[in-house]
Parts: sequence; structure tokens; C-alpha cells
Amino acid sequence: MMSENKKPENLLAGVQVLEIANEMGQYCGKMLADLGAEVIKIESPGGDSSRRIGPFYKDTPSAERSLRWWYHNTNKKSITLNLKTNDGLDIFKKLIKGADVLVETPEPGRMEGAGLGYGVLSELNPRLVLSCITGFGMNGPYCKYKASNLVGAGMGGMMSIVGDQDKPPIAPCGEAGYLTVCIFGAIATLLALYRQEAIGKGQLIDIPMQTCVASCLEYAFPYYAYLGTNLKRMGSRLQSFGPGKNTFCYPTKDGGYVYGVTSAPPLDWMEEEGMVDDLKEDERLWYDWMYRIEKEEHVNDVFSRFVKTHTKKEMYDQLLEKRSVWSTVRTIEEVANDPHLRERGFFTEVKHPDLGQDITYARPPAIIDGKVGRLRPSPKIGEHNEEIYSGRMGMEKEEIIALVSAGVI
Amino acid sequence: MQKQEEKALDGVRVIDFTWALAGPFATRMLGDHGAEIIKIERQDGDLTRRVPPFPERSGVNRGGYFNNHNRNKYGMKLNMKDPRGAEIAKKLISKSQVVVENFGSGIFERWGFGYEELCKVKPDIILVSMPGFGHSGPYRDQIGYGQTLQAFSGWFDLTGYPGHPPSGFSFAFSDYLSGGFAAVMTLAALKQWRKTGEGCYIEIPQFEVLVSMLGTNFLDYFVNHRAPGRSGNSLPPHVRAAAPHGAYPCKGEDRWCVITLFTDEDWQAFCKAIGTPPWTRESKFTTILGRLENAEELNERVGSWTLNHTPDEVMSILQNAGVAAGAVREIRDLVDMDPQMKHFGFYVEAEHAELGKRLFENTAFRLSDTPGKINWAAPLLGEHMDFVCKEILGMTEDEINQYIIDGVL
Repeated sequence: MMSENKKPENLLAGVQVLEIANEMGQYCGKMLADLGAEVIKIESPGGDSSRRIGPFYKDTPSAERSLRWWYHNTNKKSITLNLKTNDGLDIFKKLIKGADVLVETPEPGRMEGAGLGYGVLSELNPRLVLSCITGFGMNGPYCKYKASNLVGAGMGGMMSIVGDQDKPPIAPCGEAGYLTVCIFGAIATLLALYRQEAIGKGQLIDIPMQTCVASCLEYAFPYYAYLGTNLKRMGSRLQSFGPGKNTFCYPTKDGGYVYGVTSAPPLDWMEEEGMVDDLKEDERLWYDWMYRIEKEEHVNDVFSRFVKTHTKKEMYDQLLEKRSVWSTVRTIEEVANDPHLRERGFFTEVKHPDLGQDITYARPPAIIDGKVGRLRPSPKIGEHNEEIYSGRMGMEKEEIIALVSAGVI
Repeated sequence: MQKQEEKALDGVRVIDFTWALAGPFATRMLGDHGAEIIKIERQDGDLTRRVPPFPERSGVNRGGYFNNHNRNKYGMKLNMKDPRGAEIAKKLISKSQVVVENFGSGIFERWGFGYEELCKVKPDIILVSMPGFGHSGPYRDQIGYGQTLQAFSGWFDLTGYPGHPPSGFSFAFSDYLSGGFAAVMTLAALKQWRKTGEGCYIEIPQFEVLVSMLGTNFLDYFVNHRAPGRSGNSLPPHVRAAAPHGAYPCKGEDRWCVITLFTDEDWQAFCKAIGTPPWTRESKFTTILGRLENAEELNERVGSWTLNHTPDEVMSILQNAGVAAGAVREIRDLVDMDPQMKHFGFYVEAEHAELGKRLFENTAFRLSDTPGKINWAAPLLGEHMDFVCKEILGMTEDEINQYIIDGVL
């Protein structure tokens, strides 16, 4: 039954997560933090290098003004700690004893070299779940290879099915490789946490970007496994030649685009405007997909001509009005001003006290018992040093000063 | 079905009403890790049973697409339009922890399966609902089809080459993002349920998941009013200085390798690895700003080097020098050749009742103690009716036969 205490941020209440993650793994921690886990980022003194990735607030670069950092680190805490010092290692080991999870994006061998491999950590805390997000996995021939978002999208096979045939393969926009490994990473971490709740013991999780990306290729894998067909990029055209969902991009009169599914065109509307050609008479087109593929050039001509006589706005309004599965290709600006999202309160104001300003964020998309999750701005470098080191670990002020001046925190 | 070793979700039963891809991918993740997934299908089966590829001839039990996404699930047919069918479903729900559905908004409620109703048969049920656009707002009744959602949410507009129409992408990446996110939410709810005994109602609009995954772009829009364009594989300079950064042509037909350089050290290592040809010492290329400004010429220079090598040679030469590079793997490379995928054991065989031994994507990550496994292939339509009706619901043979005659099962 609906109850007051059920909110997104209560699902993982009480779960303690440490995060030593570069840009590859931060979205994993964000998803856990958005659900109420206490995610403490461990940054090197001076701040994590991913704070230098843009875009920046008002295009003014600064470690505290990376919008990319802001978005990927909402609801987290930050402490600084130098893991290259012995004092730093001691403190880290104490932190590990109280943690449920460590999410890390380790350089191969670095953690073992520092005496922080899973063996050591699990001895300190058998409940610990260690989630290792890497490009290629914790061992194997490529485990020492460096990864980036693009390398992950390429080596996972995704780039081979995106782009136009006469141009280089490309990756889906943004950070498709990183997002993919982070979603899988969160799933894996929660599986291990569920298991931990049951038997009181954690485990080590190997989360390679390459295999995660390779899990999201839709038709490519079964086509190859069953028919030996090696599907490759074909623009906006769907990989499948199946019953009917071939898809294409059609330009509008005013420089916009419409994404159309050939099996479900707005035929009645086209007829009203006298632009349906013979597509209605030729009924076979709509129950025989093989035949439709034969006639594809003609069908596409008719669709293109129709779309070309309309503005993007006209297409947008009418396609929604008619509940068509066709869609205009919308820009960030159009989505940002979407009336549906506005009514649902999807873009939400978050207070940034230091800027004296509210900033508009995309909120976490899940709603629990009708309630949306709380959104706190990402932490500043070492913002929670005092809370954790003094409040929780009971360090004296002098001790903290000494550690700061020695470059440990 | 036998279960050889312990899995993370042993003892969790999921009643799975999902169809197409996003929902089935979410429950596939849970099934791979030991949850008992009872897949409820219409009597003519999940739509994707009709999607190719089909080896030899087509048939509802012969599709590779369906097989790959629905392994480890139990198959159950049910006529939900018959009140007795709905009763049977409720009885199943009363013996389960999770219900997942991805119908259009309102359908589940029309069946009498709203959250309040389900709580009456199972007070601690977790209901995961994945409507295309959400259960409120002006687009609530629009059709949420993964391919077009990608156009509607901003992904397509940003994917493609500068100065060219959007390339879209030829597969439903959206379904993996929203299906994966739904698995994250389900597991977080299960974790809470395990701890407190409470269920909850989770609404996950797939449209909002897609928009949230472009969150940095929306922050940039709201803060800096930036309207980004398509940039191929390049990173826009307001995001990150990176050059070379892209896919470069290699020896062979339509073969490519990704190279991504971010720092000055990367550049030094790159130059050394390719033998420091004279052009690398030209002043326009020795600084990052110069490389960005002369990106086109730089890319040509890099391409003229990569053309002499296979993608694997480029990758190995550069990776050995510490530069992030990777081949653009095609699906056949991943399945047949990639040594890291082989090492991980990403493609594995399992026996299908009609298709025989077939290849599957393994789980993409590995938990050390409870690794997850492909135990069996996708169910034939209604394959596990006996198991569900007799062992879970305790029906007699006569009752089952009567239901079949009446068109309920």
C-alpha cells in the first residue's frame, strides 16, 4: 500500500558506498545515490581530474563548475584522500570497514599494487561488494588496455551499426559507452547487495564496458548467430528486414526531420491531403512485408514528398494529434521546452547556494508511489571532509590539520 | 528446471507481462541471476516471436531475436480478456514478489491490475510499470516505440556527421537504456523489500529515462542556452579538448580503428608509437589548440598512417604505447575472433527445445560468487504451462484441460 516513507531516496537508505571513479563510472554511483545510498566520492586532494571535463557553468572552466561533473555526481558526498600515502591507505582501510560497496574504475593492477586488491579489502570487511568498472575486464589479453567512451563503443561493436555507409562508423551521441557500463554496473552492484542482505557476504564484480556494450546490439547478434549475416551501419534504417519496421529519416520543408516507420505511416492524413499516391489501393503493402521491401523505393518516395510539403511544427502537431508512431527529430531545445515534461515536473530546480541561484536539472526518471526523488547538487572538492573525518571517524582538529598539511587529505 | 548453483536472486519470483524489448531485457537481467521469471504471453505470443532472424523457416518458436532476449524464462499463455484468465494471473501474483509490465498507459488498470488492486492480493508486491511516456501528462496516450522515442527525446538529432542529416541509429538502444534502468529500480525495490518487508509501485516512463541520459546536455541548455549540433566522433571543444579523436580508416574493406587522445602525454606517446614522422613536429600539431584548429588536416595525416595497418595492428601499436585506441569491432569479429570476448566467455551455447543448440550472449558482468548463467533457452509458446499451473497454482489436469478448452489458457 502507498505509504509515506516510500520515496525513491529511501530504497537504498542505509547503504554505504565508496566511489573511486573517473568519468567512466560516475553514472553508476549517481544511480545509487539518487536512490538514497550514501555515496562518498574519494577524490585526490585538489579534486578529481574529471572535474576538468566540460561543458562549464557560463563556459567558465573551474573544478567546481563542470556541468558534466554536476550531473553525474548529484546526491553524492566528497572527501579528499591521497591513496599514495601510507596515512591515506590507513584511513581508506578504516573507511572500507564501514562500507557496503566500493565502486571503482581502477587502472589495471593499481589497486593490488597499493595493497588494496579484493583479497585484502574483503578480509577487512567480508560484507564488501567490490564493483570494478573497466574498459575490458579485470583480466584477459586486453585488460591492460586503456579505454575511453569511444573506444568502448567501438570495441563493443556499437559503432559498426551506427552511421552512414559512405562515411565512417560513429557512436551514438553523448556517452553511450560509459552510460551502458554504468547501468550494467548498477545492476550488478544491486544483485550483489541483495545477496549480501541474504547471506551477509559481499563479492567481487567484473564489469567490462566491452561486454556491456556488446549486449545492446539488438538485431546484430541474432542475425549473425542464426544466419551468418554480418549487419553493419545503414543510417537511420533499422537493422531488421522483418515484418515491417523499416525506418527512415525524411526532411521537412523547413530543414527539420521526421523519423518514420514504414509499416505504420499516417496514410489517412496523406489521403486527406491528396498525397497518398497508390499506397492505399495497394493493400498488399500492409500485410506482406517482403512485398513492402520490394516496393521500398516507391513507398519512400511517397513518404518523402509528403513530409517535404510540411514544416516540422506541422508534422509535430499532427503526428501527436493522430497518435502516430512517427516522430519529429527533436532538438535539445525542443525537448527542454516539452509541455509533457513540464506538466510532469521533469525538469526541476535545484538550489546552488554558492551561486545564489536555482539550476534546472533533469530529475531521476523513476517515480516511487507517486513521489519523485530528492536532488542535491554534487559535492565540492572535499565538502564532506569534516563530516566524515571528524564527525564519523572521530579525528581531532589538530590531526586533520596535520593530515592536510602533509598532503594526505 | 534444475538449478545447479546458487544465484543472487534465488527465491524471487517475477510475473512478467512485458513484451517487445525494453521490458523483456529488464527481466532477462533478473532471470540470468536466478529470479524465476514467469513470462505471461497473449495466446498468439509476444510480438517479437514474429521478428527475424529465423533459421530455415519462420515460426513463433523459431526466432533468434526472441530466443536471445527471453532465455531463462518460463513460458505461460494467458487470455487476460477472460475474467478467469485475470483471476489466474492474480493468483500467480499472490505467490510472487515482483510484477513488471510495459503496456501503454492505462491498459493494466483497465484489467483491474492497478497497484491498489494488486496490493489486495499481495500487500508487499513490487509493481514495476514502464509506460512509454508516463501515467500522466499530455502525451500519456502516445505510442512509445523505442526507435521513435530516440528521435523524440533528442538522441537522434545529436547523432550524425556535422552538416549532414541525422544518422539516427539502426537499432533500439533506447530499449536497453530503459530496460536496464528498470532492472536497476526493480533490484533497489527488492533490496528494500528484503530489509523491510515492504513493496512499492515504480513508474518508469521510457521517454524520461532517455531524456535523463542526456542530462548534461540539458544542464548546458538551461545554464548556457547552448543548442548543440551533430559532431560525428569529435568531442565539441566546449566539452573536452581531444584530438585526434575519432574513427580512422584501416587496411581492409571498410575497416576502422578508434583513436582517442586527451592529454599532451597522450600526444607524445602517440607520435613516438607511429615513429615520429616529420608532420608530427610541425608547430601547428604540437599543441592541443593547434591540433583542434587543424583537425581536418590532422585527421588526414593520422588516416594516412592507419591505412597501412589493420585495426588490430593500430590498436596494439597504440595501446602498447599507452594510448586509448580500439578496433571498430563488427559483430562477426566479436563472436568469432576477439580474444578478450573469448577470454570472458561472452558467447555461450544453450539448448532450445525446437532450434537445438544455439549461441547466446552471456551476462555482461561477472559476480565472483554468484555469476549468473544461461540455464535454458527462451520458452516455446506456453512451454511451461504445466509447471506454472500444477506446481505453482496447484491445478489438476482436469482443470487445466477445461481452461484450455474454454480458451483461458
